[in-house]
Amino acid sequence: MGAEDTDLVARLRRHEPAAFDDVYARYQERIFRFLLRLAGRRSIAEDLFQDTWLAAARHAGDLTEETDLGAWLFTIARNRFRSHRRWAFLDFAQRERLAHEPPDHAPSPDRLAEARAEASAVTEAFARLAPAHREVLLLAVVEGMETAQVGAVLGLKPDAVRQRISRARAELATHLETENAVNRALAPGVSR
Amino acid sequence: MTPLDHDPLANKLALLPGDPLAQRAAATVLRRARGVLIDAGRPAAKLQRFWSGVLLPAVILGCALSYSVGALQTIERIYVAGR
Repeated sequence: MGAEDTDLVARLRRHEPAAFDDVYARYQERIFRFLLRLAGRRSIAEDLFQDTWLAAARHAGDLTEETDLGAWLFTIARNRFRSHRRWAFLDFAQRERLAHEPPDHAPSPDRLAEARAEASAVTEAFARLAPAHREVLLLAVVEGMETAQVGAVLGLKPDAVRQRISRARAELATHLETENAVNRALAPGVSR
Repeated sequence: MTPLDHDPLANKLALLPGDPLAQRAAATVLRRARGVLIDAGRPAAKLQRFWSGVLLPAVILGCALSYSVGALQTIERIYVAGR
């Protein structure tokens, strides 16, 4: 953890609003992107994003000098997402609605028709991953966190993190293969 | 060097949608969170957290222990009197 982060943590523990502004400026984009990709729906990500920062503000006084600020914030965000998933599972009306509603990033029929776009395949394949695999890939691969940091966020030992990353990569590769096969079959001009 | 420089998977994952939050929404969240931060720093809030986080659980635990001890003693007395 850098000296700047140490200073920010000390100021946050004193509930200094200016320190909170600095932390927010530094992490808000990463946290939102993480939640957006994890949840797959912008409206949910926006709610979870607000919950995350309100919780961070509420518990800023509980930080210790050794707290890794980034890991702490990602842990809050991840816990909010997990909590949301638990409640959403019990909310039958919402489950019914979401089951018939495509994710925000689902390709439109037009886009599906030209489905060679790699981004579309990646997005679809990623959305099909188990949440535990999505989060570990986002933290380790996209955010570039160290294994120990990822372990701190997920509550796992480094070996378990490495194992989960490996499984997530394999699962994503399988889904990507499937998506690419579907895209090739749907591409215009393909003889049947 | 970022993780995207050397990992093909990272390059693929970089294609995932990641549009930032609208500035106005981000500012609203910051304003609310700042309010919570300031409230949480007030002595009354600290006292309240000490009550709900430490004192109240201790009182409940103490009551439960005392009730359990009393119940066991009563059962013991009934058992001894019945012999």
